Amino acid sequence: MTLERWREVEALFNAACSSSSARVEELLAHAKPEVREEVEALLAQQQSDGPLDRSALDLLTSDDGETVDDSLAQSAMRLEPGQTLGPYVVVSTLGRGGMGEVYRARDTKLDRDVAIKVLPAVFGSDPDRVVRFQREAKTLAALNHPNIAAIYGLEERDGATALVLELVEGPTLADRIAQGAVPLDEALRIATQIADALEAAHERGIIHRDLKPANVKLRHDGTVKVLDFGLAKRWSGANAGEMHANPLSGGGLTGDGAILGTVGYMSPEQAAGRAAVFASDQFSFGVILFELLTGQRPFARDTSVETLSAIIRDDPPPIATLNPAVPDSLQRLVERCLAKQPGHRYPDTRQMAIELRRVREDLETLPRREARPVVPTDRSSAVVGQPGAMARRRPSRLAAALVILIAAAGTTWWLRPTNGGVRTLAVLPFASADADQDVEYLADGITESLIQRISRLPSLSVMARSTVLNFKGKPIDPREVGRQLGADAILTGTISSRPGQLRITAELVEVASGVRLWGDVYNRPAGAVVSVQEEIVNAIIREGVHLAMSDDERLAIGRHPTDDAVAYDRYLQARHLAFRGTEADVRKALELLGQATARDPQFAQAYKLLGASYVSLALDGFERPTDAFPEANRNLTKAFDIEPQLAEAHATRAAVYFFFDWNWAAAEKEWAFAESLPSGALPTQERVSHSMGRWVIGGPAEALRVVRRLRALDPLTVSYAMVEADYLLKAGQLDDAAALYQKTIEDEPTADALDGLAEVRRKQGRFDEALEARRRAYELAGDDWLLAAFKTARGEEGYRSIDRMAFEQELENLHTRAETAYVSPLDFARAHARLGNREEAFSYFERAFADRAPGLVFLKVDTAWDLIRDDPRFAAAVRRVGLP
Amino acid sequence: MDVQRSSANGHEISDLVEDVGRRGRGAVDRLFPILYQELKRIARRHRRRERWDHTLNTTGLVHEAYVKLLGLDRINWQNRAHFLAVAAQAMRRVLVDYAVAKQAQKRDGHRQRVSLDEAMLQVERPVDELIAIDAQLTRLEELNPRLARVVECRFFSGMSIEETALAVSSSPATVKRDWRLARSWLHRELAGARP
Repeated sequence: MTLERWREVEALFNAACSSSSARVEELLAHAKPEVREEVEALLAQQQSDGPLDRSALDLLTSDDGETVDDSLAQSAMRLEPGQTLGPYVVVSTLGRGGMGEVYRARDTKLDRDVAIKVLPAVFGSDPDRVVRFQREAKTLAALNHPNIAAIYGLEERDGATALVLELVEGPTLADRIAQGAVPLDEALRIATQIADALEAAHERGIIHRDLKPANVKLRHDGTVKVLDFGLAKRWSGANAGEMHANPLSGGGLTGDGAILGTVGYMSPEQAAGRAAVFASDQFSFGVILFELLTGQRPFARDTSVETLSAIIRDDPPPIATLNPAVPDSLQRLVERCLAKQPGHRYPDTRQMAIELRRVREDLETLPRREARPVVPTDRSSAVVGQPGAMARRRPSRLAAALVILIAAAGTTWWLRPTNGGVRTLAVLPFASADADQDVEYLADGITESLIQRISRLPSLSVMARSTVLNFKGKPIDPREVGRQLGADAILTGTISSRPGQLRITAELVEVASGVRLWGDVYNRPAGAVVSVQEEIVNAIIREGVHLAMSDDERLAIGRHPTDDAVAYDRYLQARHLAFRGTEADVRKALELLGQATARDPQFAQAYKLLGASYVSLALDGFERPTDAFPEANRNLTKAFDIEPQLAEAHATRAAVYFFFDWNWAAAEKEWAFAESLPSGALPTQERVSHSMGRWVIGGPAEALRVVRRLRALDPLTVSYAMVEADYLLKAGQLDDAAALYQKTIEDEPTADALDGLAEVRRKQGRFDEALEARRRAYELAGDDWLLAAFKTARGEEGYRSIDRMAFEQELENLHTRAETAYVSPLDFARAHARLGNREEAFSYFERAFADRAPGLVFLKVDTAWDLIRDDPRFAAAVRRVGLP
Repeated sequence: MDVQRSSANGHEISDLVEDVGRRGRGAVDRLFPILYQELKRIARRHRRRERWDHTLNTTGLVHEAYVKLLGLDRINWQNRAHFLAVAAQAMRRVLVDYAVAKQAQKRDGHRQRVSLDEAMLQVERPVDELIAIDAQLTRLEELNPRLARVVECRFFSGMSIEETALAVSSSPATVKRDWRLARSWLHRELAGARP
């Protein structure tokens, strides 16, 4: 069949499948005879069964004349009502449990009903396993705890093993959760009993390994019983992989859902295939408690693979956003249970149980309110999970320079105390004490917040955060740093977190003498970031700097960006992510900021960052500019409504005018306004886009002037040297550009700097050097597929062929990406232009204009267009953008 | 875990998975053999321990490989879709190879005992059917590669519609449509190929 005919068949078949029978007749009647015949044959297959209706594995295993169900039936002994097993008479079947068939039976000796679980035959075939199992069963039988379903004994018959268990009447916790909201007091009553059961079992060295609501029974008298202790996972071996693979462990769910049902409560270590430890049960308990309190599972995802990944990787959504009624102490307990590292959970389950009881007692001594469901009825504001699969892309070169727009505030501050001469203070980034990723964003946030709040003092001027970031993560000698920065004193600190606890140290060191002028340690509950900051700032100013302030200044310094600690935490996380700048990061940041503004609709900084994040998505080409820029504007307007003087918001608005509205005058005005605000209000990085604007409109010389001023303000920031080198390159000052690139590479080799150097060398006709720089750039970026080609490439011809391969690959990447995501038409045009494909390049221009691709403003200065610049269509495009 | 013995360490694997995201085909080719080996090893282990129809389903296999590789190193989870897609292709290979081996085994084992009449009467056996499906799928792949990917996920790897959608980067609705067409087409071709 030809492809063409196949496409017709495909289209007609799909249309027929989704149409009424009358319409199908009509469709078929109008089709070509050969297409019609083919489609009719295919439609006929719709009704009949065939091998594709089973799975491939099913098909293979049935080759021996056995189906999966048959083999299961053979593996476990079947009991019929009336049959006896020792003193037990089978009454009825209760169902299939985690380990095999379960029956209700009558104990004729003791005259009570019991549950009997028949273990699969395969279980008995491994003597080691039986011995281990018997040992645990004995321990459990001796345990005799009111919250653990008892084991009465083991019966063996015909080589099969049957467990005799306490029969617990009543629904499972899973049934209860499915019924709807669980009130807080009921949730705690259930949870404390589960915790007591865990405590007792752990004390005797027994791990449950598969704690989940289906394994918890609620008796009608209010007693909670945990089932299947230590046993559920034993019979199948201790291998995590097998546990997912085993369709039996799903507890009533079918097919793929069986896996989903099981993995939802698994601990990260089990999910990663490692053995369960006591703390694994604590994690599962945390998941259950989370679900009881919020009505949803913390790591619920669409597929089991994603659930596994979420358990291992993702933080649970904060309980407070889902149910604000849950007290802090309880939230902290759940968070600690859900720590990814077993070592960060409770060292002793008893401690967990005691803490939970304390929470419950505290609540009960409070004036009793009407028992309200703890799950808010309106879940519309609850945001769980994260955006779906997203291609990871390194921010483009353009974006790297413009990340800028969402970069954070400055870090070096020049304090001028009113008493005596000018005194300068540099705030170094607070370090996370134990290299803990989780508190890194807090450390950054505290640094920023300190600076922002001190900066409200009109007597201060600013340098850039980025300069000081060079010291981040490196051992700091305050005296050395102070001298480099020309500061009189250095303020620095550390932050570390234990579950539920923050420990922040701060100290002020005089540069000249190395004397510690002031220092303090703050231990606070994890939620208290806002108040800790206030304390530190006040203490520094009061005790550290002895800065005399006016009342107005005191007031200004005391103003919080928000009073909502959770909203602030979301904002800090978002800032951290936005700064990293990959697509997934920025999208996650948007989500967090949405939560922050939902909690505090007056949170101007959060709107500002929302605006900047949308701008960055548009500039990176992750989102259609005609969608993203208006969204950015909407959020910026909100930020202005609340705080009209927000310098960063003005700089971002300038970027919207510049890249989207092509309104150069308005952009320039916004930039000028942002610059006119008290110095320090606008981080230097935000000003780079200003210099880019000058470059586009006024030429490289103008841009050079702006960026050199930035470098003077902020001498240690490598990226400004890069930008300056880029401008020098464009301005044709090749030797200067090369020197600056080389200096940058010596300081810290980056792919961008090496690419820049390669371009200089190419322009100088030094192709072998260009090739070498280019090769190093690829090596550094981890792009090794081209490295083989570099081995033979020499001279101009070699450079051209590398260029061609690189851009052909780039085109292929763009096409691949375009299948699932937005790709700017201008990116296609640009890649074609680099390859000299004139017609193809221009074919994308119309759509680039329709999307208002931000890169269009660079038409005049971007060398990528050099091969097609002489075309009249190109000149027309430049005029259309209205570039002066 | 014996991945040390396999050709790549965890770092490389995670890089490869990322590469599949960035560069497509070439990286798939490099990730494929690693996954193939890993899936085969897991399947073998399962079969050694118990009958694999008992403890194994294909989704579980893929998950286990995934979790294993994840345990080795931190695969970028944004690329889990690519992982699923490559794993489904590897799974097809593992199962078809297994079927071919089984077919050969039976042929050798039965050669002397099967009379001519019996051989004539022999109905299509499931292993043969699986091999036939593989062959027809290769033809379908030429008509529309996406349909073949969907069959690999659904039939060979036992993925749900949603998981398949994630793996082939389309919507569940499209996957349903593709699956309907691929299933009908394969059933018709298989029926037509039979005498």
